[in-house]
Amino acid sequence: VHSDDSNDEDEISDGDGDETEEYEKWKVRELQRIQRDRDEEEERVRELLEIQRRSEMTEEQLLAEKKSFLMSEEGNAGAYGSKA
Amino acid sequence: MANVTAKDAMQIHGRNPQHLVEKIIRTRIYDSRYWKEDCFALTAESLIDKAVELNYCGGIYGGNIKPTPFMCLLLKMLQIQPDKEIIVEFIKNEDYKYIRLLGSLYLRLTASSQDCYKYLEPLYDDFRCIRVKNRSGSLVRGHVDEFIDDLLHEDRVCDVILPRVQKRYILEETGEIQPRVSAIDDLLEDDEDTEKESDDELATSTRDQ
Repeated sequence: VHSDDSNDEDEISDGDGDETEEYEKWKVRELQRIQRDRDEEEERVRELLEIQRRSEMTEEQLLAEKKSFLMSEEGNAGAYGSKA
Repeated sequence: MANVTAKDAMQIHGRNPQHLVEKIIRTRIYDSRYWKEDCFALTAESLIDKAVELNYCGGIYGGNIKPTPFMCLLLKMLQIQPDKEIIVEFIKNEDYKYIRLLGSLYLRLTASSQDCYKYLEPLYDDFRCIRVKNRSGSLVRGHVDEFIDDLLHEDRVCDVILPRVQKRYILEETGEIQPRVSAIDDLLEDDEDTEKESDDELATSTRDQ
């Protein structure tokens, strides 16, 4: 008789294992989360600063920057860059 | 009708709370045996008795989309809409981790962003093991804090699409919530303090020489 419910419910226990070991693992997870949140925050601040910087530039400066960016892109991108 | 949302239920995010669970899954839950046999005519109180019996969480599994009891009870809660205090009690209880998870998922689906952060973030400190049923129907190990992290960062938990939650920094900027203090921060500070102290001692001892 085929049963729909698999019988593996007891294969992994629902217990909590070794307390100190679990605590150490939790510490690692928590640190990773903190690191992730910090990275996100840094990325956000960097973006804000970039927006600020560009908004203070004149039209000519913007064009010049774009030009130099494209030049470096062309050097790097090879086939794709030279098409443009 | 057994599947109709309670008459006095408030709309959530501008719609029938039961519709927070997709139609396909909802229909599967209505058809499931657990829903018909165990969830019939549950109230906010009798629901607790059922939730105590949970021993794993998860969404749907198997080729023919079977809902877990966890999922059925979630839909039941959306249907009968228990008071917020009850949900908060679910979340605050220490003894039954699956009731805690059920409460957190319900809160995440229905409450405001501020409340989500306020009630869910303290659970980051709960590192108990949980069992999660994955799509293929086998149980895998997880942890309460991971579940909470998913609730606050993923788009989907237990095959339910989570409503948008405002980014933390926006709420912090408007002063609605305070920056999060992790339980581990104290530990880190302690470490730094002891390091600093030992540095100081070193400095004084070298100066003395």
